[in-house]
Amino acid sequence: MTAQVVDLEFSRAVAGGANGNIFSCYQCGTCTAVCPLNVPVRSIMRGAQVGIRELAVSEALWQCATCRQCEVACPRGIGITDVIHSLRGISYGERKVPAKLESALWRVYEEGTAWEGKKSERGRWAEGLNVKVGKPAKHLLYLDDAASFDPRLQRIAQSLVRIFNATGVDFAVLGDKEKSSGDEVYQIGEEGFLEELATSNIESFKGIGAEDIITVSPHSNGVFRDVYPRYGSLPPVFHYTEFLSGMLDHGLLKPKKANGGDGLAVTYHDPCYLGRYGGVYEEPRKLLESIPGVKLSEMDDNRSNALCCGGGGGGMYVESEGARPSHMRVSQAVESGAAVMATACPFCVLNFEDGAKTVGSSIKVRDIAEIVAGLVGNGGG
Amino acid sequence: MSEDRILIIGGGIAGIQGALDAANAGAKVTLVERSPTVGGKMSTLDKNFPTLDCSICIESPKMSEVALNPNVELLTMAEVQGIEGEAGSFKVLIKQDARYVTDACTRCAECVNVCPIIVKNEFDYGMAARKAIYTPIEQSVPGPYVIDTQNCLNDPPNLLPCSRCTDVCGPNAIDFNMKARLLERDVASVIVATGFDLLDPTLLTEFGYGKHPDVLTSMELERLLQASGPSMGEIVRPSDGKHPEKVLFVLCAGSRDERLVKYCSRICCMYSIKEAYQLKDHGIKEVDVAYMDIRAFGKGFDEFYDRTRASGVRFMRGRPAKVSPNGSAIRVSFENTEDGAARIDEDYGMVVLATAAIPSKGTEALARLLGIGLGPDGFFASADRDGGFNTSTKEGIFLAGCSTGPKDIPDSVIEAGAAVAKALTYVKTRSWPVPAEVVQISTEGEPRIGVFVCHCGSNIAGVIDVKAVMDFARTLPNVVHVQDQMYSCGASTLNDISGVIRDKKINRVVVSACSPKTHYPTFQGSLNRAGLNPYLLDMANIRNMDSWVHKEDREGALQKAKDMVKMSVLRAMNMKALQTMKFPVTQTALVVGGGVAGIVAATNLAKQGFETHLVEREEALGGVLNSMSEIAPLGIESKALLGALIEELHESGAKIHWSTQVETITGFVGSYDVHLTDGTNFMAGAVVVATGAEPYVPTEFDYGRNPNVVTSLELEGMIDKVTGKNVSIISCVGSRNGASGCSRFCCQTMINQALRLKEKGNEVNVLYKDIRTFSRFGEEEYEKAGEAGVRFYQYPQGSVPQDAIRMADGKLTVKDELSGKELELQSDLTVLNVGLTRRKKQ
Repeated sequence: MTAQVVDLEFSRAVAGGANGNIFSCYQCGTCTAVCPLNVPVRSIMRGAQVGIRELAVSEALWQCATCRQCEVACPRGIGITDVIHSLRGISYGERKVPAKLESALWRVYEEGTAWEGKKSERGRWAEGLNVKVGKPAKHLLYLDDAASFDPRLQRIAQSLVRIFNATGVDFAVLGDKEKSSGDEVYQIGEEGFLEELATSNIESFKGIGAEDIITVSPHSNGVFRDVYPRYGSLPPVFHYTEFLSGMLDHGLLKPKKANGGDGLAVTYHDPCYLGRYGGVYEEPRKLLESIPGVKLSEMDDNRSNALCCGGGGGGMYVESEGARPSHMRVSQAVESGAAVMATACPFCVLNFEDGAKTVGSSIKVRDIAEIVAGLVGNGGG
Repeated sequence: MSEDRILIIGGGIAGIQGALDAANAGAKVTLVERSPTVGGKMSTLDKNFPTLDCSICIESPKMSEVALNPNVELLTMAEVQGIEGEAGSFKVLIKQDARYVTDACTRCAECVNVCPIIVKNEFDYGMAARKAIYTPIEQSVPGPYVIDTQNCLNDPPNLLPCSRCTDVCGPNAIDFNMKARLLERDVASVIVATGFDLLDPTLLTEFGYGKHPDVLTSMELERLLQASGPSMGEIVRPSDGKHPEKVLFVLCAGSRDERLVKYCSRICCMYSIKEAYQLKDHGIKEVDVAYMDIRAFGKGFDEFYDRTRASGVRFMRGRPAKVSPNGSAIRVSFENTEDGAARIDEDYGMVVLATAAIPSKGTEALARLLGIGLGPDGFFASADRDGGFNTSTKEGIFLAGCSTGPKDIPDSVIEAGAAVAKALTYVKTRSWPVPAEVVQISTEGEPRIGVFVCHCGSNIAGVIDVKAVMDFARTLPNVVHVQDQMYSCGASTLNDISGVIRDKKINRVVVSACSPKTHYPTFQGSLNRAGLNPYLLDMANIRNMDSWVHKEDREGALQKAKDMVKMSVLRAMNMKALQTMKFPVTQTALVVGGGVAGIVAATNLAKQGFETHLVEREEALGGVLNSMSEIAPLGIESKALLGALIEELHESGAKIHWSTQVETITGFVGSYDVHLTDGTNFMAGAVVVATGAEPYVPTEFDYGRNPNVVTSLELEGMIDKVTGKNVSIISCVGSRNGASGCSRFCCQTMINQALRLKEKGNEVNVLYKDIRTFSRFGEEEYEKAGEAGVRFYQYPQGSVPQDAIRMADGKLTVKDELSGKELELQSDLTVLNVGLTRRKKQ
């Protein structure tokens, strides 16, 4: 075997893009062993630490769903997703990006959406609903791409409209003027375009003059909260579960008894970007428990240990081979004895419905917004 | 009198050893222990590493002695409640809870049989039950049983819904009217030896404790291994009582972990290796150990690690991410970092967690009460200038053992001695009470021999048929009494021997047990207290020389035991009473070697008022310390430290002989005739050899010929003048190579030097086998070095650096275990991290 010269320039470049350091990793392998997508995380870290390019930059980099399960498990408390992000930036610089993710990037560039769809059809989901579009309001409801275009996921946004209307919330949406939050752009590491996108979004938000932004997807939340402040200021951002939970506290939301009567067993899956990124664990549970008749059952892995659906970090756009953590997660939900698997993220909903079909389970996968919408005001479910 | 007493808080091995050392030096000691027995963690262990000595067998005689020594006041179930005054004249308030059982207790266990209350036995770490009246362990000291009124049906002074125990107690030893006592003691100095606790394993959510009954802590396994433990030494799964076929040990369970305990718990590597070895010995087929670095730093530790590997235990580098039930098995997910880069899911029958050692419960409160500081790790802070951990932040209060961080037994014992040496400097008067006269038993006439056969738990009885040995002993001439004992060296059994000697007028004693080397003085005590001349004792070592070595041949072992007992009995018949003579011990000490150990020893002796001579071969004191600039990990400046120590030495009044060697030493114990090369002659009662060691001089890596290769000690002198950009440090040069073991201090030095180089802008590579930063604050500095950007490369475990690393043209080539790749590193300066070897010129 000929010896390989370590590439310290490369190592320094990764460290520079990783908000600090990669060096305090003592290579215990906990990250690799905990990764639901079988990414060889430790080897990637090793490649970054001492400068072994082919260990660090490979296809495996794009299998990562940035779910942060490795970070929760890391005994050294290392921000591993920052390292992944830094490496992806380097990889993107070398034009080494999976084709599907690259076309998603092009779609954002051309149509303002990573999800399949046309700029001009972005607002269609709200047709027939009583919604202020592009007008000043107290709250701005931000959908992001998947909930705007995917017919299954549009139901989440529509459910929120129903809840807000039934409870008298003054809100507006951006309609066709809404653009992708740029989560995928960030995940790929295209910082230049991200800046352009973020600046334009911040401008559009100003037009509504809202007190806060309420998001449908925790992924938009993540990029708004963690990345946008570099490019401008924006009002406080809340995930809708946080907002609705606040309404519960003030007695503004009182869900009725659920269909299916007493003891309806519901389990809750913590989306990575809501839980591990946002630290929001209790609000969604509180919402579910506020529904008369609902019995909340927990899966073995919950809260900060929740298994990822595989959708984050660009995972929704990449063909995943082998590991399908969503299938295992659905099985865990079934084991918990639940009839309904609730979650609060569009990606999770799609992945788990797919998972339920594959494992042949009749468990119902619902976004919390969909569950609550059927139980407020006069609206039907 | 406040000037003659030392208070020792904590009755584990450090406290016990401290009490005995101080008492034998003539100080009065009050030993305060909060549990009902002394002994601490050591008394609950099965065997000690790396010697595989029976733990309780080593400790039990000391426990007994501490109860019998007339200079020691033993207060169990007691806690210090207040302290006033200052060094030299403290006044302490101690509260001792009621035991409710008097010294009349004969430990017959009738009360235990009738007590209706069953609770978990904390001395078995919950692996077994006890009653509300109980004895913590077989060898408990003091011996009387104890009533735990938290669980007893009675709630004194409110009596008596239940009187089952009092009804059956023959000697009427149970006294529910006993009250807690408040005691005041005047003491000159204090030693805190409060030990450690273990992290609650349920906090380690990923490791499955509490979710599967066969996930155990190391201490729980230790109780299973213990012959007198809950499973009588059988390794069984709590779930089904069967032997596991495959067991995994998980190291660093909570240690070296940002979320729980940042430091290294120091003892877990070795006790886990020891337990793994024992399981293999118990016939368990597959035994695996998941580790990150093996920290086998002590004397004989690496050799034991090698022996354990050779026994078939599999060591896998990697930290499990998840341990969870998989049906009746336990599923473990981990990555073996030396073997591929993927998750492995493997099923085990038992998983053992080496849980982190943490400050013992109440440490914070005690620190407040005593007015002493705590370190950032939660253990007591030390104020020693020399990097030791003996001196608290308040004058007159000293620290020993695990109260300043996790430590193994030898280190705790050494620290206890060191703390006593310091505490004694405040003791003004010393005395050695003479035990009360006992009516002497006549040794004239026909020998009347008593034979005591010890089971030693299952150490002896597990192999040798004790009853057959007894039957045989009865047939031997002049034997008038034969008796078996579970542990002959327990405090109550020692008393029992004395009683039998008196009652049966025995005038020769044979103890058929273990080694006279360790236990002869213990049993002599029984003879002394019975009034029998202590030289009329013989021991048959049927354990070390028989049951331990002939485990596979029970018939042969029994025959040998009979032969050994017969020889002992015949020897005993011919024994004559010997009289001891007293010679004065010359009150002068000689310390050979003026390194840091010699300086401190001489200072302490002189401060205690002894005439002391310190002999140093070189012109200057300080030894190896002279070639260090900074001492890791505390960043102590060597020169300043050495200056301060030498100043203190001068102040102490010790006589220093520079450039001098010992010419001859003749004479005998307590009275040595010493001739030095400077012409001085004197008599010395005690000699301390502190001649140190010398740094290894490498022959590896072209050292001595290549100017870009230096030793770590040479780097100390030039660290600010290093010109090359890339510096590589190679660990274990001349250490851990089969011929010499781990040099113990060098990893810490290496990390410290790497950090200093990095901080001044160098690129630093560390090429290592294991990172052994076990010292207090050492792991924290290792982490800091990583954060600063020092790069670490691991060369293979089984190799030595000169085989694993090639050096040519300012480049090093190493097979990096962590990437599986052969890597080439730029190295403008290569530092050989050398350990210490024995001095060639002695």
